[in-house]
Amino acid sequence: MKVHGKDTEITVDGDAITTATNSSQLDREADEHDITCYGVDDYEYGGGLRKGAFTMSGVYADGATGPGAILRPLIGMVVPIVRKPEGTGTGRPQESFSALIKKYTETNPVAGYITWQCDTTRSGAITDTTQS
Amino acid sequence: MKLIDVWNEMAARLATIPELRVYARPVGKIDIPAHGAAAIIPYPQAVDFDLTYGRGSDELDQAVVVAIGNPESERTATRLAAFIDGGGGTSIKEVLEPTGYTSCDRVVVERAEFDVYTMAGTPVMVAIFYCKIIGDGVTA
Repeated sequence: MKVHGKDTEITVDGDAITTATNSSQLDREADEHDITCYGVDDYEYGGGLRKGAFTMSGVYADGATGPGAILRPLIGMVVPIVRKPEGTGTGRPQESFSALIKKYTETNPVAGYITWQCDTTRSGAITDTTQS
Repeated sequence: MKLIDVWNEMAARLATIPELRVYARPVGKIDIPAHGAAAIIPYPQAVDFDLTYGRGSDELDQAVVVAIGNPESERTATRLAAFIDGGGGTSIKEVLEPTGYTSCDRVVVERAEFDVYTMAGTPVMVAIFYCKIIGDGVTA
């Protein structure tokens, strides 16, 4: 069944940032090691340490619960992030991980809403669970 | 956002403009005051749901139509100019844009266009103010 993205939920360091967010992307990668040895005609590779980036962005909102108030103080810190890519519900997935809040950007166009973007680097493993 | 509440708040602000008769609903018959104008809040052009996750934000495209009078009258031209000014107490943009709405987060008057409508067989100069409105998606 296809799943719509609008139900995605995100908390950063315990603070809900869902209603100010309209896009998020979680990358899951692994290092690649060339283990090719003599006697073969094709490269062979092995997997190494895992890593990834998590980015999120949205429409800026003011106040203590807005993205600016939540994310600006976290620059340079490693904090817990919880993402529910299919929203809240029994049986739906949940991703929990820690991430370094690397960059926070606000963009103020004259002819539109203020937008924001936050880039993070995952630190440690992603814990994938199923909501009960 | 509740559309009715947005209409009512916009109408209340428009009513502060002198000699402007305000219709807060898209009604069928408009009476333009002899020495004034009529502002009508018509049906919206569009609603965009889900600007953010979790029903956080919706966006409304809502116009305000100001009907002034005889397109060839100097009084009409003077009155129209006052409505599209950037300020001065009769400016539609100046009245609608300040923050403080409770029905929505923000109303921005993005542009105005002009046309001649026929009302009861009579040509009437109108200014159409196109507004972009953002507010909460979930209505309390």
